[in-house]
Amino acid sequence: MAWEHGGSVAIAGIGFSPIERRTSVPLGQFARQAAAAACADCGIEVSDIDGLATYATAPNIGARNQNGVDIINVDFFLSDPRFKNVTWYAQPGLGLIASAVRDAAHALISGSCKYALIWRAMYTPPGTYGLYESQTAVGDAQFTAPYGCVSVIQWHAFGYRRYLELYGSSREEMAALVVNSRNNANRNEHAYFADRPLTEEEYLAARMISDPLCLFDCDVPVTSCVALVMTTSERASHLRQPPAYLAAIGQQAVPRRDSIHYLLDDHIESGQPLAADLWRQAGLGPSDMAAAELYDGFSPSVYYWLEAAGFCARGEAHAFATKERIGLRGTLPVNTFGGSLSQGRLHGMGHIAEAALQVSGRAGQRQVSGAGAVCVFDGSPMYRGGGLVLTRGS
Amino acid sequence: MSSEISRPAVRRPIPEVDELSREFWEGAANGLLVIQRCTACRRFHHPPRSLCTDCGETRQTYVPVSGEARLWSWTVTHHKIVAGLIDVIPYICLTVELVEQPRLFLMSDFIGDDVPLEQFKVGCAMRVIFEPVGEGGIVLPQFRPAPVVTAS
Repeated sequence: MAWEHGGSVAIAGIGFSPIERRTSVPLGQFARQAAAAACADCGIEVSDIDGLATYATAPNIGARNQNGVDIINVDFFLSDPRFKNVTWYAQPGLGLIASAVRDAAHALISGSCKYALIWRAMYTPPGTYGLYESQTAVGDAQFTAPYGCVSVIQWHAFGYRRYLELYGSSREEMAALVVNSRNNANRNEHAYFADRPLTEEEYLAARMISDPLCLFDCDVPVTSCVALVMTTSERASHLRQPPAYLAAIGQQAVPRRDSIHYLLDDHIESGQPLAADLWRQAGLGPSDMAAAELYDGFSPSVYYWLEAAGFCARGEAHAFATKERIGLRGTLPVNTFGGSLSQGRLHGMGHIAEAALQVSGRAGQRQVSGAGAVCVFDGSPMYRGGGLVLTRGS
Repeated sequence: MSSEISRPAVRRPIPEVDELSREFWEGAANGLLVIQRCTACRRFHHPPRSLCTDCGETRQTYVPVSGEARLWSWTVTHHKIVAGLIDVIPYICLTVELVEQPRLFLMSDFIGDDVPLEQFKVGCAMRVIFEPVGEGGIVLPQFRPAPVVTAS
């Protein structure tokens, strides 16, 4: 049965801060810029915002999670005197930014707020990103850290190696996907690699991080903030931009298996119920999607989402994701904005922003013609991610 | 190899043994691989848990297992991920699945270049060995490709 509130709320405004690697600009300035830009985009005042939502956690090992330094949590904007009318806020600890979008949607539907600001701020610390420096290992880490194996990149490498061997895939196939994302980023002024092309040869020759994942299989850590304004569809119809209507929104929940690392099977099997729920809510399916914005913190996640969401059969994404099919003029454009791989590590917010731009006809050089419905899958499938479907019409 | 060649420093993070993990590390120090097992439904759990995640039973025990496993996957780490192992990059991380139960995974590593990479094949038979790490009596279970047994 379709979601009874499908189409009742919309993304009405989108705002981007600059996107940099390491910078002396305080993260809070980027947050203020993104918030102001999102409000200006749809034509409301900052003081019109009465709802705030974010997923604030810095996901890298060793992060300080210090408000204003490496994270921007709800308190940041609550302390800002311009936001004088806020009566509702949410800061989910699970589920990445899609959970904050979900919470805001529910608040709008129930009338708890009228205009919600949702943002995701990310920060690149000095030094090596995600370095485990402790000399001890506590809890579950007793069984991973002593073996030098604590990082999600290593756990993703385990899965990708199995994928390569079980399904007869190759890095050459992945090169097409990674280069396609870079090509799209080259058309995106809000991408870190906007001005840097990448060839398949460069991808194949790149240094390994955790074999078989190379430098370009990993999203580039950046410092930036992206913000959205969401409101009811009725209010959105009076604002400046064509709304991007929320047809479906969900969280990846079960099966949730207790494991010391990420398992290939779990990626697919935990993404499937989420995708099935989204298609049911929206009354749409994979073949109805004009484009798919699929989380790509590491490149193999795109394959896993393609399979979990039913765009292709299990084990076939590597053959499905040819440059012809997933390019901007293909039958299923993927990560039309460059993905986290080439836009930068925005932890899924770049995917949501792009889906909104596409269905509202505002994606410029990246516009997929006739983009009536675009799906977003946020997070690695087994990492309690989420997803949503945005549509041009309500 | 000459003993005068200085070996790179390996400073593994050392497990902080707790009530749940104590028997695992005691077993390893005695050359035994022991895994937590539910007294009610007999499911193995690793890492150890305070109650069985399948049936909820709080009474758990540790039992010795065979030490036989299959290689689930492996990766060669080229990047600074654990500070204490920076000097021995690149090193191999392994995940093995114990034969006693599907999805019962342990990790392992291989530091050094005595084992050619071709020996690591997804699905190949592995066997436990025990490696003292010299800090507080901790001994790490490790896994190596099992020797092939040929008919005599």
